[in-house]
Amino acid sequence: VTPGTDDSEDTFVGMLYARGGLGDKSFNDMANRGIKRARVDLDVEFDNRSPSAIEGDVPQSEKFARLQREYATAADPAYDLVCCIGYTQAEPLGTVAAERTNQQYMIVDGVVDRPNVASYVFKEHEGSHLVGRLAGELTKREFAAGAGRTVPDETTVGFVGGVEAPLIGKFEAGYTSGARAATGDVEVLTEYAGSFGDPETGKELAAELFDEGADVVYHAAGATGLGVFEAAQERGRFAIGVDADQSRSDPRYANVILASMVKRVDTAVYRAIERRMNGEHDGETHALGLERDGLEVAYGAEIGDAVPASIKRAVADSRTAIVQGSVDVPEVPSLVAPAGAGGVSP
Amino acid sequence: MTDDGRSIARTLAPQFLRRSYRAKFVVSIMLVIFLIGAVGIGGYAMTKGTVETNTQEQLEETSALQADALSEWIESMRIQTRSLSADDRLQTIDGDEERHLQGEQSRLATDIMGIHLVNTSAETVTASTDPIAGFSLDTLAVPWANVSVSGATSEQADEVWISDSAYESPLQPHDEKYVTAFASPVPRTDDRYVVVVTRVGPQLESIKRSATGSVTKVVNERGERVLLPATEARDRITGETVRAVRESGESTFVQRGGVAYAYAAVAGTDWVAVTAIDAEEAFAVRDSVSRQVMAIVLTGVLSLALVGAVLASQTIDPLIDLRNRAAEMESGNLEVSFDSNRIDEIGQLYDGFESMRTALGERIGEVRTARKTAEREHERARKMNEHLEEKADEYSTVMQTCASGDLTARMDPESHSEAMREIAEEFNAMMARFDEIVENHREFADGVAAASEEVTASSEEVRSASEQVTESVQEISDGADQQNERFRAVSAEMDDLSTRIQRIAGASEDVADLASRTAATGETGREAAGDALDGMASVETRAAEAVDAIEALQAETEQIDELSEFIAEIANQTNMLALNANIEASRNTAGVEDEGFSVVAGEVKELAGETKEAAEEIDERLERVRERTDEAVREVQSTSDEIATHAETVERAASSLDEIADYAERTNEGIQKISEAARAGSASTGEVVAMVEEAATISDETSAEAQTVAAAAEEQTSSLTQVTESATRLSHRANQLHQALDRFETSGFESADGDPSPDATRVEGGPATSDERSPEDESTESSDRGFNFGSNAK
Repeated sequence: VTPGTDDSEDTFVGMLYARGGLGDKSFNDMANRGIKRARVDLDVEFDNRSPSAIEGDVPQSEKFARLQREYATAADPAYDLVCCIGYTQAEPLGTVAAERTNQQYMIVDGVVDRPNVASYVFKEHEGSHLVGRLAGELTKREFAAGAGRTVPDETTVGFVGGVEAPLIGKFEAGYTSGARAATGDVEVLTEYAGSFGDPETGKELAAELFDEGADVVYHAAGATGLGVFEAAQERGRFAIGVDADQSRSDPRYANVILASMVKRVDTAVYRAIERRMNGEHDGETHALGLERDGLEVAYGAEIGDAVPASIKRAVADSRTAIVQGSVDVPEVPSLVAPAGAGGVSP
Repeated sequence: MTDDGRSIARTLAPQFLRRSYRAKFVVSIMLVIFLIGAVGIGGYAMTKGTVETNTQEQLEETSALQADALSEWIESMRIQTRSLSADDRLQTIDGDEERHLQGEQSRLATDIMGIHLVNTSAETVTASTDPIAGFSLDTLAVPWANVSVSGATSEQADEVWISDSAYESPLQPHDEKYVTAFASPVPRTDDRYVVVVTRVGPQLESIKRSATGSVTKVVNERGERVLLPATEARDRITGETVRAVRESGESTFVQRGGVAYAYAAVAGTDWVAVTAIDAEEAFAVRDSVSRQVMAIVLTGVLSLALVGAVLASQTIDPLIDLRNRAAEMESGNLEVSFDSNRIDEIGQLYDGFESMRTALGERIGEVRTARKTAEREHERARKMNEHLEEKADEYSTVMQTCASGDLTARMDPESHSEAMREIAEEFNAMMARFDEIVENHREFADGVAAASEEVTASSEEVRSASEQVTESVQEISDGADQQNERFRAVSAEMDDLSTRIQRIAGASEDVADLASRTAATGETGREAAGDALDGMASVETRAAEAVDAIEALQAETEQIDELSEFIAEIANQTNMLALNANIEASRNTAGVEDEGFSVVAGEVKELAGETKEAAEEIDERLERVRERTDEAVREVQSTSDEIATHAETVERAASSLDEIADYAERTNEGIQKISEAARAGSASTGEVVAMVEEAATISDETSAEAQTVAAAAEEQTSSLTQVTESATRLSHRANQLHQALDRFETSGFESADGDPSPDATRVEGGPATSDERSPEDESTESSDRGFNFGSNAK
């Protein structure tokens, strides 16, 4: 293979994907779109690497640390920016970035407090507000699509969190406020599984919520959320995914996933490269919201089309209101106005 | 070969060949060399051709295989692209294309890097699996930007466009950016086509890898490399050949400028796969094989010639030489040399001739010598015969003299015949020895007579000594018997002792048991004493407490005493007051009221008096109480003292009990030791008994043995008596022998009368009669033998 025209003037970006590598239809594929877009628009050169390249019984964080160091020590080409995808890279990057202070890094969905690491996180409460609006609108109606169907005489929605922590609280707060915005008297049932890796508990909790009348359950619980989808399939209700378009990354559950609150990793990657090329790279934490495609609602690949246009419009209106600043989404569940306090559709 | 074959060969071969071995040899070798040369040259030509063809075919095959593989891949890509564009969903644009394309991509081969839907009228990308939807084609600068395909008719729609060389994708990572694009129009549209972008890396790799030493390139109609972008192929491989191959579709082989090329058309494209290899390298096998075949042939011919020459000089020349020398020997010259330093068969042949010649000479010499020797021997034998007859006569005379009793006659050993000389010497020696023997016998007979007498005397002494031995042994035997009895007594005593010791052991065990029980009881007693001591100590404490209490009571009583004194004083004072009051009352006796006052004063006085009496009574009682208390204190004190005394006694008893327990313990230990010693003693006694019994047995045996010895000694004594008798008889016979020997005349002894004895004279006539021969005189036997030997010599 003839090596590319390695002009030293070209900007070289090293992509370091999360576990699973390319083809996951989730964070990694989105990040790949981001770098491809940068390749076309900004004419950067890039290189793809993922921890699966390292074989043997090495801990995941050790694999990341090695690859992060490899990029830093590479000389031909030398990388102007290394994009680390996923919060699992935050811990190794904290160590490696401290060692390699001359190498510029960015991390998506995690925070590393180093002058040479730009951290990109998301205003989860804003995206959650939109899917809350969607759930609130649907529970009012009689609606059936795929394997799910609403219970018309109940205006109840549910939320399953992984671990009760401020970060997950943002999801809950956004979701609840969104549901209230749709229906002032909606009942929002909330459960926490205590773990991000326990689908069994996720399923049990979601089943309870469905049995109490919830039409839609939104989760922010990682792998525990897969149990939520299973419960939705068993009970014949709906679920909302998170982070990536889960109707595509977990197509088994596409027949109950109404939509997903998608973190636009590609936007984060693209923006980090852009800032790097403009000499604006810094060690700050950048929170991406609905504005400029930082977050979006991705309707389900299978049943998303069945969502009535009026509801989609209502969701779009909420988005506009938030982007314009006319609606301020609370980040803490305790700050959400209680039921019946007159949530009004904007 | 059969006889017929041989005769045919004989008739066919020319006369000079049949006569000369050398000619035959030379002609045969030449024939073989010629044949080998012919076959070798033919083989060389054939091998060279075959190897060359193989190489060429192999190269063409490589090229064709590469072309086929590429063609297959292109065909599969065409089909995939075509089937993508044929999807109905792409005929109407509804914004859902991107998701559709992404779904398709996930089903297709992993080499497919992207799928794009292009709108030619808007000159933009309508949808893409990559984030380039809406991009203007100009900005992308890709070969598939403006492809002239149309889906208007179904025939046109079937066409699939291929980028005519690889290009650098604007979407790929920098280390895998070379891609090839396929485009296929969407049927029934005129401005829309689907582009499939695929990696070329794997194709390039497989083509590179495929053949050793050869390099395969794929060129398009302009002679540009297809799988690497913007690289001009070398001029040499372009032009006519490429065009011809593309048109005919057949693989071609061309060798030009030291390089061998094989061309193969890639079916379904305008491309040609060109496999090139350095000609020298390609035909290296052919050249090396040819060289080797040639070398083999030449080596074969040369070595045959050499072998022929050497064999000829080694065989034919010596054969001729041998033939000449044999002829010379045949003509009578036995001095001909057959020397050769060769050790092979020829050398052996020379050696054979040499030994044959030597053997011949030796035989002739031997015959001559044998004849001379035979004549000499004949003469010698005749002389010898005469001499022997003469000597025989002479010896006969001497023997007759000896036979007549003169043992001093001797033969003359001087003779030509060794045998005759030996006979004479042997005879003389025999006669000397005979003479000596007769003399010795005489002396011996004297010696025997003397010795026999001495033996008789000695054996008498031995007999008496033997008798003494018998007696002594008898005494020993008696002693042993006594000893035996004593041993038995000891054994019985020991048995008794053993029993007693065992009894002691038993008794001591009983005692030990008692002692340990005593120790236990002592311990119990000591504990009881301890308890008693504790009890006494507590009694003592109580007593002390009682004393303390009584003393406290005493103190209290004293205080009461003080109080009663105080009361008595108050009573006195009250009385005084009453008296004063009475005086005052008597002073004012005018009023009735005053009379009352006087009454009260009187009563007070009376009361004071009673009080005083009561106080006195208390005093008395207290006095009694004090006395009793004192008495109680004393008693308690004495009780306490007594208890203390008892406690000491009990302590002493306790320590005595301790000592008893201790002694009992020691007693127990001592007795245990005694018991063990007794057991050991019992065992030892058993051993002693066994030993004594053994000793008794031995002494029994000794006694028996002594009796046997005594018997033997007696037997010996009687034997000695017989010996004495025999010696006496022997002495007598020796005397008789001496008398008999006196009859012979010898050189050491002259008979008393000087004449030969009449017995000796009679020997001349023949052997002595049996009745006259003395049985003791064995020497006459020797005389007979000497005679016989003499007659033998005649």
